[in-house]
Amino acid sequence: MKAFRQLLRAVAAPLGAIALTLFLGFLLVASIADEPVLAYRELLFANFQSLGNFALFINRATPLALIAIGIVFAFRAGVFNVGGEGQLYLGAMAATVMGLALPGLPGFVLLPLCVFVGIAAGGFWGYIPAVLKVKLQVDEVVTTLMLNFVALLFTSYLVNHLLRDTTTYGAISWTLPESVWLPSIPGVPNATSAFLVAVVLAVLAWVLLFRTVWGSEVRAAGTNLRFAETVGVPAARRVIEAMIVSGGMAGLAGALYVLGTGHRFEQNFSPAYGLVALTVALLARVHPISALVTALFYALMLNGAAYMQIATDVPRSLVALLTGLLVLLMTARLRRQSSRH
Amino acid sequence: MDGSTAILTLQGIAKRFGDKEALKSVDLSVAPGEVHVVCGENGAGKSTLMNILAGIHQADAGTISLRGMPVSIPDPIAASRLGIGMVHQHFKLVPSMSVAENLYLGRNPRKYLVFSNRAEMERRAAELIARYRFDLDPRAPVGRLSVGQRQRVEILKALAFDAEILILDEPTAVLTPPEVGELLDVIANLRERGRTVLFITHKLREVKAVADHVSVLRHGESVGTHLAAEVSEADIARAMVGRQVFLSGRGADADKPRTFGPALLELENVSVSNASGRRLLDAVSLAVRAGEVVGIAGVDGNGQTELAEAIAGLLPIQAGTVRLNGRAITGTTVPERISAGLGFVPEDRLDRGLSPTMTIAENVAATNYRRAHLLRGGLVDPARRDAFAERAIREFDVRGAAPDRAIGQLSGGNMQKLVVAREMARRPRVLVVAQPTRGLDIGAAEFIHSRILEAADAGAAVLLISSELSEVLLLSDRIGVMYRGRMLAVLPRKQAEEERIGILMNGGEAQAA
Ligand SMILES: Nc1ncnc2c1ncn2[C@@H]1O[C@H](COP(=O)(O)OP(=O)(O)OP(=O)(O)O)[C@@H](O)[C@H]1O
Ligand SMILES: [Mg+2]
Repeated sequence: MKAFRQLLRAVAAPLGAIALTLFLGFLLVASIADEPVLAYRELLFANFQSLGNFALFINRATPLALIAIGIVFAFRAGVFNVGGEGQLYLGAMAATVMGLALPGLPGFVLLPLCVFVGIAAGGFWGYIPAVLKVKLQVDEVVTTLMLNFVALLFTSYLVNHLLRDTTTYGAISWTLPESVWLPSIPGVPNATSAFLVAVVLAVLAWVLLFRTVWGSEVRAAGTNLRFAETVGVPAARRVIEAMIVSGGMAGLAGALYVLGTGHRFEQNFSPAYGLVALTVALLARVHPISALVTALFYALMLNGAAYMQIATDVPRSLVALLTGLLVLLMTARLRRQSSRH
Repeated sequence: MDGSTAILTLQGIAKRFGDKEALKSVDLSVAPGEVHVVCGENGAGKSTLMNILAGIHQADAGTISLRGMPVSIPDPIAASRLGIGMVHQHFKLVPSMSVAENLYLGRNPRKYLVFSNRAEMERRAAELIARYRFDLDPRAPVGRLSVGQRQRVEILKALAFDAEILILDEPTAVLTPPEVGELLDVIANLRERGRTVLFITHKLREVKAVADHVSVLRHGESVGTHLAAEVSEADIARAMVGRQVFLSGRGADADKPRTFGPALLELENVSVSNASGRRLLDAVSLAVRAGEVVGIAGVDGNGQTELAEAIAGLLPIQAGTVRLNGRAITGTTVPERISAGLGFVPEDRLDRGLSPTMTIAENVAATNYRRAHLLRGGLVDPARRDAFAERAIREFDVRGAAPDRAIGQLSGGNMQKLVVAREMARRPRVLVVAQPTRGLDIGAAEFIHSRILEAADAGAAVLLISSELSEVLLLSDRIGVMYRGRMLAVLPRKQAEEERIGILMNGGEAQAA
């Protein structure tokens, strides 16, 4: 019961800020648009107008949620992981390569293999900056950011030169065998069932972080390293492990995107999911459950903006403004809280 | 003293934080040009009251009058405009900036309205330093100053804008004894210059040394103001705690024969060097037997911190052996030492002792999850964990604590009680405690002392490290003195006269030993 109340409190904070943002945004729209109500209806509800739109919304939210949950682990361990994008791309590429390399294997063998190599690739991309930070005190913001470029250029090379589908235009790989395609969510055609994985993992992440000794050790290392050492936490190891989990989650997001949504690797498949997920994790106050909720909201806004632009004269860049406002409101809240200490 | 001549009068000041009533009703009257000490237990509300005067917190009720006029102090700038300056319990300086820059931070003199005028700033800083006869270089970066010097920068910073009333919140807790002496001289000097000083301290000897008046707070209420000359240390202690306080220990009955068990903690020629090759511990040998308290005296910075950390497994040892319960633990990890029966209370609670933003329950459980059965089916059982913390809170009488509150919100003394509670909960065979009562009120100190002695009575070997010589003398069966990383002597309590220890602490007899 108490745990539930705590959960509610954690989720209530972002929800409040979201409501306020939407309200202020409405005033803004009302001042520039001829049909503010229509614009807002499109922004918020077009996602639910048809099953097709709803599926797109779910597909947009899934990678955001998975990466954001991973970033929560990194933040809790005191590591500012800006490398979500690179970890995502490597995970997607690894799954693609695996799927294309062994197309003859039965799906129930190949699918887990693809997922596994995706997680491993992302995890490895989280492991490198973690080790550099722990062993050599190299700043992780720099390394994770640089590794993004490495991963993006490397996967771009692979998709353009080795895996490119020569029957079509663009930097797109061959299509994966249908045996490894993820099924849709029952009743919602084309909505990736990876979303269900994200829901399960959000809960699991919460249990890991807040109900295991491992989680309390990660958080101890993240909040006060010298305290962690003193009470016997192998702090360096925990930081590295948390970063492997963090990268692994982004890698999983990439793998599941390929298996469930794209069915092949596209060079520009991510509209900066990694960076948006960073914002999502921060706005969710580094809490895995509210990261899921916040990811849903972001997806809603991103897709809704497109519908709004089609239906009205409000440009979709309004969403950039709204999300900016949201960040502002949430951080204002955070500051007020911390100044009480 | 009647209200009309007072420079500062407080009436009925109240303040709550959420559901915590930090101040219920405080009355206080301060005469111009006096040194007025405010005493009270940890968490009595001293810092809160001073923060209200400095404009950091706002009172919920009550009036503040300055020179007979009611005033409101909405923020620190208003406070400095009213002539109130404050030196906080924890310093607020920028280490990378020079002394002068820190003094004039945010209000430095300007050239052509935009550029800060460094020469002018340094000249004024030098003037200010000279006026109070401090030994400071205005151009030295603050990060390179000693704690005592930093504090003087804080004092100057408070005085730089002609503060008439200077508030010092526990300025002596972090100072070495000679630095304390110098600070008391500074305070006397300020009084001569007609400043009014409000001074918070837990050390009753200091009250007697400098105070004109002493006021006592208890549980957020003022319980009286006395002429310092008319009350004894015991009177003040009684007013603070509300009962008689007995500081007692083994030092008092050193003649009483005690029998000890086998040596549980043994150090043999333990040496530790830092990265640049300097010896921090130089062939230290020491044995602590079951049931025994061995105290380590010494001026801060002579290897005491390193000794504790070497035993705790936080500092690699270059040479020598550490044995716990007869088993060599020299190269083992911290968790291995904890399971071998080591308890460790580090010297700085906010540095190594706690994680301030985590909850009380998690901090207290940190080393005890398995041993205290706080897990169920491999997962942390929050009910058991909270009950465990609740027990520690009750047993150690930690005021204002609930398991799910952030531990950093507690007052210093209450945090310290919880660190000790966490380490004691395992009934360690060997207990290493460093500076266990730093910043604690005398009631809390008495309590911690009795817990340490209980652990020894129950058969633990206790190593007590403290820069308070009186504490070492009070509790220890034997006393070791450290100087420049060496253990100069380990004396039985009976032979450890204060004077002899003092000489050893300053390196005397170094050749002989
Ligand atoms: N920001 C805060 N939020 C919640 N409670 C607070 C806050 N600041 C202080 N308190 C509570 O108010 C009470 C008084 O605290 P205060 O720091 O004034 O004590 P103190 O007399 O200075 O103690 P010490 O001698 O340990 O410094 C304590 O119980 C403390 O936990
Ligand atoms: Mg205080």
